[in-house]
Amino acid sequence: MKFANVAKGVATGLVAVWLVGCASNTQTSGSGTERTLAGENNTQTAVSTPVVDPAVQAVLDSGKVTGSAEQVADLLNKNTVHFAFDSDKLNSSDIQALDVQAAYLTSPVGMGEKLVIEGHTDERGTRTYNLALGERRANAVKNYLVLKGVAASRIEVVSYGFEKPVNPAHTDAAWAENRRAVVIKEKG
Amino acid sequence: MTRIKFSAVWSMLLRISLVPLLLLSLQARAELTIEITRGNDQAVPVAVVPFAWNGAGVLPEDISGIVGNDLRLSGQFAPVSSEQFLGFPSKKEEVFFGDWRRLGANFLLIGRVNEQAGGQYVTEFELYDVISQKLVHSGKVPGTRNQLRAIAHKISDEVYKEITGVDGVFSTKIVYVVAKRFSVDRTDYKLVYADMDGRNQIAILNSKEPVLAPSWSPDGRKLAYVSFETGRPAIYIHELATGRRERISSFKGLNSAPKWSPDGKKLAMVLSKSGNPDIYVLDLETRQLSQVTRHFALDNEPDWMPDGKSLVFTSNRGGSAQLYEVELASGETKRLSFDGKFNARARVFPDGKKIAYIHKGEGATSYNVAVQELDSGRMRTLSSSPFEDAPDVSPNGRMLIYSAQGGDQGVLGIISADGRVSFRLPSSEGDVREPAWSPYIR
Amino acid sequence: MAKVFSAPVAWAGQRVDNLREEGWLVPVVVSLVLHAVVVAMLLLVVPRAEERKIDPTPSFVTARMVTMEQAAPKPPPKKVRPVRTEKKTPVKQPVVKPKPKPDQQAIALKRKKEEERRKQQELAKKKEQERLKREKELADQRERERQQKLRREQLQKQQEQEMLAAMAREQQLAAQARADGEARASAEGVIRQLVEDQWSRPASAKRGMETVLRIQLLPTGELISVQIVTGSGDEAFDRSAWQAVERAAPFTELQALESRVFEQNFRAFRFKFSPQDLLN
Repeated sequence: MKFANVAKGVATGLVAVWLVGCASNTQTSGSGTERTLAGENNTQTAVSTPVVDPAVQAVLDSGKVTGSAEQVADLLNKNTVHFAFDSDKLNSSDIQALDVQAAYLTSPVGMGEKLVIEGHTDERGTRTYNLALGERRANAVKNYLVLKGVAASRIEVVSYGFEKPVNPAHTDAAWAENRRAVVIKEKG
Repeated sequence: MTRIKFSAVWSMLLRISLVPLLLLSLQARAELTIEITRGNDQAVPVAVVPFAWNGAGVLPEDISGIVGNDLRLSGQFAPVSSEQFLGFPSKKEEVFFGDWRRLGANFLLIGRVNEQAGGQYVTEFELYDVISQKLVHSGKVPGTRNQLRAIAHKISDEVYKEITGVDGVFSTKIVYVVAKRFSVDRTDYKLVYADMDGRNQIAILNSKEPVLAPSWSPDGRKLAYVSFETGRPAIYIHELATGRRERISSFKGLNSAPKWSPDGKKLAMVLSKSGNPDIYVLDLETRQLSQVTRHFALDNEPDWMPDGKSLVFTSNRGGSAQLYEVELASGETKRLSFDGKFNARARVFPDGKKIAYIHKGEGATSYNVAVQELDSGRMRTLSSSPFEDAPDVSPNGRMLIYSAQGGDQGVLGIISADGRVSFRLPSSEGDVREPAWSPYIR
Repeated sequence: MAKVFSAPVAWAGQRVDNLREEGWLVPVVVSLVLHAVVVAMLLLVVPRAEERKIDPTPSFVTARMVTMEQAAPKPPPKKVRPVRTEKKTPVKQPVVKPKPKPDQQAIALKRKKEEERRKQQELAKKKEQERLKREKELADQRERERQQKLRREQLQKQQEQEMLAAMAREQQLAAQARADGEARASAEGVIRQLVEDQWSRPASAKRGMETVLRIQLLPTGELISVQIVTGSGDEAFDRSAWQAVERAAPFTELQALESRVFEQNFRAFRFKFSPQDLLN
């Protein structure tokens, strides 16, 4: 926790320094006709400004999760969670991602959005059993989000069972890829 | 010399005099009876001779080929290869039973097709018991040229019934799903209707979204199945003759595993609208829905007992996928499967005494078709390819159809209910899956 | 009351029906009749033997006291045809006459004495004759008895010998019957195995179905005929049984049997097809 705070402070600090630096550089380059060669006399000629995704910002602002913007961005983009064989239990890394999602969805920026959660399985078992298992996986995700404050009415669940595998091979690796739930945001 | 007492002497004389009388009565007694209590069930060797044909060229349909194949698929017959035939009789006078007996055939089928004026075809056949050299069955069936295949299947039914005592299923139909995958995002699906030998395929539904779990109505006129065509799984009823469809269940969440009741008036199904997959029964007339299971675990894949009073279903309320039976009136539930960690998708046999299902044994990795006797609990796995699914039982309870992996594609297999013989149905292009066997077609 | 009888009567009636069905009725009746005849015969014969048991005090024998030199003959032994002898032994009392006069008395006396002597001599002679006669009779009787005893003993000996011979014959028959039984059982086993190997049951076969076939064979084991005695009600099942027999024949293994065993058991016999190994 402390480290995160320190990192946040340092990052903010660095960002601030960058911003100041850019501003001063811009001013410098705008006043004279002196030609400055890149990398020769000045330390920076071009500076990129990360634009914080409002979504990420919203998450960060919510205070519900801790982490860098990058981390948050990564987690926000991670819309797929995976499952063990024949299981609908969420693992801890997935929960982290869902926390970020929930934070976004409950933030002012993400408040209006609706979700569809797809449930999927690997090929083992029967197709109709897998349809129900996929449903339970999708519901597991939905229930967690609801727990985290997202209104249930905003979330729809659909199971595809084994009907839409990402990898049709008959290997353990392929199966692991297929056992998933996907959170799909519909901009509402 | 010992003195023998009077009574001893006379009783001895008595016994001696009785012995010949006894022997006499022994001669008059009924004959020795030898009890035969066991058998050696083998596929019945039958010789099906190519039918004679009064037209030019070759018969429009290979009647004897269709009959031989049907009988072979049943697992109960071993057609003798025509290469061994010494002759090709088509009339009784041409039959020399000794020849057929020497080939090992127990039965001989011969016949003739006559094309008559007006495009009518008349097919005649005779079935002989080679061993006792007697005619056991004969028939004469009229029809059009297009009906010749159906006529051949009818002959198979009659031969099968005559020899085994059980109704044949060679005139029944199957439906199944074919999926052709082009990319992650694009797969074409077809629902196909065909003869039970896999021929005469007709696509009755084309879709860009998955179709699964077809179920036949008991009158053989309608199907119920799951389709994702709206983006969500919904249950449809599809009338075969007209192609008319009705979306009968599209609740939030899962609408799956529809199963027609034996009286054709209700549909059992799986809905998750209560938050969890549970079994429901929909009355097709009143459209009233009643919930059958209320457990927080996953309840799925119902099938009806023939008396319509209870359902067999899959549940993992015990921690793993197992089969249970629930009595509809009382809600009493009892567990049926105890072997292994996965038992699902049960299909009840027409006599209600057995179930077929997909089973994965303890410590095993493959999913196989198994058959279990309900009163004894005895079960056995019938087949052994790695990923078997969707078993269904023929209406005479003697054969099973199921999907299996054939190389890279899914294929359909037919296996006799005792597991002795199994065959692959000729595969269509694409991944074949989700078969369902029709009832007897009237 | 009727209930008490109706059950056994029904049972008996059923037994009779069972017998009739299996063709046992006639032989059983014949056997019963023959047994009845034998029993009747024995009942008539044995009582006569019973009767010959000697009554210890036969009423028709009157034994009178005899004072004679010979001892009275012994009573005849039990098993012999009773010799009905009435033992009449003349009993005489000496007659004492009064004394007559001296001369005349003497002559008369002398005459009398002479007469007496003569009488006595005659008497003695008579007695002697009678004695001899009696002795002879006795001797004859003894001889007869001796002969009878001899005959009896001979008869007994003969009977004993016959019985021993009969017993030996019986033992021989029993041994033969045992051997025949073993041969029959062994042939039965072979035939059963041959037919079971060929019996392929149709799909409609169920536990409880039963078909009985009657077959006739030649001593070579070839089939002469097959007939259905009782059907199972399922044609396919009946046919499968028939075919099993037809395919198992000819039963050439029967040629190894003694013709006596073949004739008794396998000339005509039955198969009862009653499956115990079906799952349903």
